[in-house]
Amino acid sequence: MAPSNQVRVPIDSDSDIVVARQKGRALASDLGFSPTDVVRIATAISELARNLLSYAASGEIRLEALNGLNRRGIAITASDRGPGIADVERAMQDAYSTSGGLGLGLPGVRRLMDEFGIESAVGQGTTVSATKWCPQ
Amino acid sequence: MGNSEGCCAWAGVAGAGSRRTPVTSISRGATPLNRQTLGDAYVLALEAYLACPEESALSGAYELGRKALLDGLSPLDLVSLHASALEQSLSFSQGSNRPVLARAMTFLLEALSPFEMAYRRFLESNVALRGLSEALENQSRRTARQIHDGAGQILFSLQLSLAELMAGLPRHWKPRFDHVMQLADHLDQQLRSLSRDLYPVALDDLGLNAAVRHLLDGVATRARLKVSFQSSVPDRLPPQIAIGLYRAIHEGVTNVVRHAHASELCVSMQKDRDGVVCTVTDDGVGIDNTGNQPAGLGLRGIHDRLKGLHGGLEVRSTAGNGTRLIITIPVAIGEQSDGN
Repeated sequence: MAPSNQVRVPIDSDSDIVVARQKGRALASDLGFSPTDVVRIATAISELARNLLSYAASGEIRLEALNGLNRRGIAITASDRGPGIADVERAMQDAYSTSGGLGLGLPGVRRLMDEFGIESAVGQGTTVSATKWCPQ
Repeated sequence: MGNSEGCCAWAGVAGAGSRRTPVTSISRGATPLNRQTLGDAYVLALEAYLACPEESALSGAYELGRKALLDGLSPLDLVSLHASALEQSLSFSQGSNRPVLARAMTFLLEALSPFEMAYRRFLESNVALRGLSEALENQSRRTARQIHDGAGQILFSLQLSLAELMAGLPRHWKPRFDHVMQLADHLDQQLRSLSRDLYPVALDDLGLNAAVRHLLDGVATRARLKVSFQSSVPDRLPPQIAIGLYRAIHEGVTNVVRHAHASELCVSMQKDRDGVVCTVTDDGVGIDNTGNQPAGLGLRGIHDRLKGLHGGLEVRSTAGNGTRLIITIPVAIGEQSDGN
């Protein structure tokens, strides 16, 4: 994938979340996502960036345009070098999210996006990736 | 249109073909054609309301919301539809507040986005709960079948063997033997009751009408009630509908036997255009706290179960003048086979 398709936003403060949202929104609009999908993508960026600040103090959001043969999409990757998640399965359950079962946080991002993955190692950090495809 | 065709369905306004505003499409289940038709209808209805803010137009808005929900639109989709329609409608007017309103709508969309996540969670929970409910029902069905066909048959053989044994024993054993036979009868009744509470196997073996008749025959004998039963409903309905109906009737009839002090009980199951309407009527003492909401834990459970089938339960009762339960379940009866 060409580097020009990628945007990296370091997340160290709330104002960085705004920058990540802005860049994600612009990229998603350029890719042809509908206005409501753009809102969903911005929301996913917010939730992932908020997680970085809450659990790892800092990290990075990477936004990537995906140009396949038949479809276009956007990949959001949030990575940190924080404490990691001991029980990923549990972290993905609504009952254990800080939103108290309302479906926000990581489970909320999973529902807004088409593909979702999470890799974590205790003491090394966490990488969450979420992809949304432009409906054909 | 190129690749963006799938991303945006375009809603044109009659007579305003040059001003095309994108209407979002996301949710599964709604085709672009639906969305376009809905978008057009929404613009027309909104313009009608803005011109003349009457209740009829608001009623139209409700109907459009309902259709949007059935088409699979999410809260965000609907607000986006509204934003597009508002923009088109306002473009007719001369006011200069258009950009501000459009911005306000975008703001609302963002604020609504967390609710979208919660909404998706509720949808997911709904599917999971339905699956769980069906799994539990299937488990109950298997257990009921094992009790009915397994334990029940063994007990029947035991009773036969005991009767044969009795024939060869001295007469003075008879009183003690009768006591053993009574215990076996009691066990038989307990097993039948347990099996029926878990799942009425008669529903699978005989069909809905015969199962209800079987239930009512038992009630007529045990509770000394004059019972009548009428039905125009096919024997074979979708399993969830049949068990929902049967359990609702069972609960209603049980309440009559336990609390109503009635002398007559009438159960009727009729099909109508939308599905099945079932009434359970008695001439007993009635319920004091009458109202539209069913009272009691049993009826509450039935009410919730019927809700899950998009049906309803209404309790009509006046003190001293009996009680009538009206159970409704929508079902496309014409599509159901009366055979298997």
